Amino acid sequence: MCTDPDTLRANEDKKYRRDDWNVAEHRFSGEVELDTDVAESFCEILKRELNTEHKCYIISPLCWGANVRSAGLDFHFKHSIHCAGNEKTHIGVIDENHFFSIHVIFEEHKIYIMDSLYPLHSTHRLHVYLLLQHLQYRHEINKSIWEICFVTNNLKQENGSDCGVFMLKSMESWLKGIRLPFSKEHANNARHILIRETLDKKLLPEEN
Amino acid sequence: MSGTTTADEDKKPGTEGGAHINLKVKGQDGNEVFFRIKRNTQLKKLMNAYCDRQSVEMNSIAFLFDGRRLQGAQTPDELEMEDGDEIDAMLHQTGGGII
Repeated sequence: MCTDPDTLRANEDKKYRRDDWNVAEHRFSGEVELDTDVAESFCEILKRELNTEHKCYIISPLCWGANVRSAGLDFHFKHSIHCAGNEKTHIGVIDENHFFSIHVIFEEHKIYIMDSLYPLHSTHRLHVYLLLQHLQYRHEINKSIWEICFVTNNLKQENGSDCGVFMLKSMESWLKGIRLPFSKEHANNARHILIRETLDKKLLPEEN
Repeated sequence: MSGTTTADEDKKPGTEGGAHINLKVKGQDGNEVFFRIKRNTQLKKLMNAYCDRQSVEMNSIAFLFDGRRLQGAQTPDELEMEDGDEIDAMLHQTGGGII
């Protein structure tokens, strides 16, 4: 075996001059999945926008995760998700690496599930079940009065990485009560704006 | 529920209540780690100790108390924490569906 560095380099050069090596196709998409850190920070920004008129709660995916985990047989959630005077609660959920949201409208007794990717399935049902049990056992709101709706005409993502952006934009949309100028083509742009916004407000640690 | 471990921070024999507080950090797996720190010590110390013990990177865990994310520079006094209070340690997760 030849270990002379010059010979080795010459062999390497030769190898890369050959034109028969395979090049795998790669399309750079710039798509990055949003994580709970960004979601947490953006929910924090939304909370800051709340004033007394809103009478609503924003629950981040991390906070909901901690609640769900701590829910015992009496469905006592550790953190408040409802109190007297609160009209709406918007919950961000992450389960099996997928974000979706649940929106509770107390005055209408309606619960909306919004998912930008999947149709109604057992994970949605599980989280709504926990929520209903909690509302019944801790807030004495009978679980039979709720009308559960699954939103079907919301924007749908076309890839496997945009659910975080869609979830956060739907939270913002519900909170502001408007249809945001946002479409699937804007998802990547929205992702950068979300991250920029949370960095600007110093809610995310800067990369070292 | 997995086993419970105990970690003492700044433990001084003969110091009872007052300046110290016992806090519980609960991981996503349900594992609980107990800490005893001074009320005016920055929580960064507890976070570091927890991450060391669990062999995880500090920036991969979010610590939540009362539904809010903890900052390292905050102290138990500032947050009006009480003896026995529980802190949630949540792993960052990314979201994307598989299609």
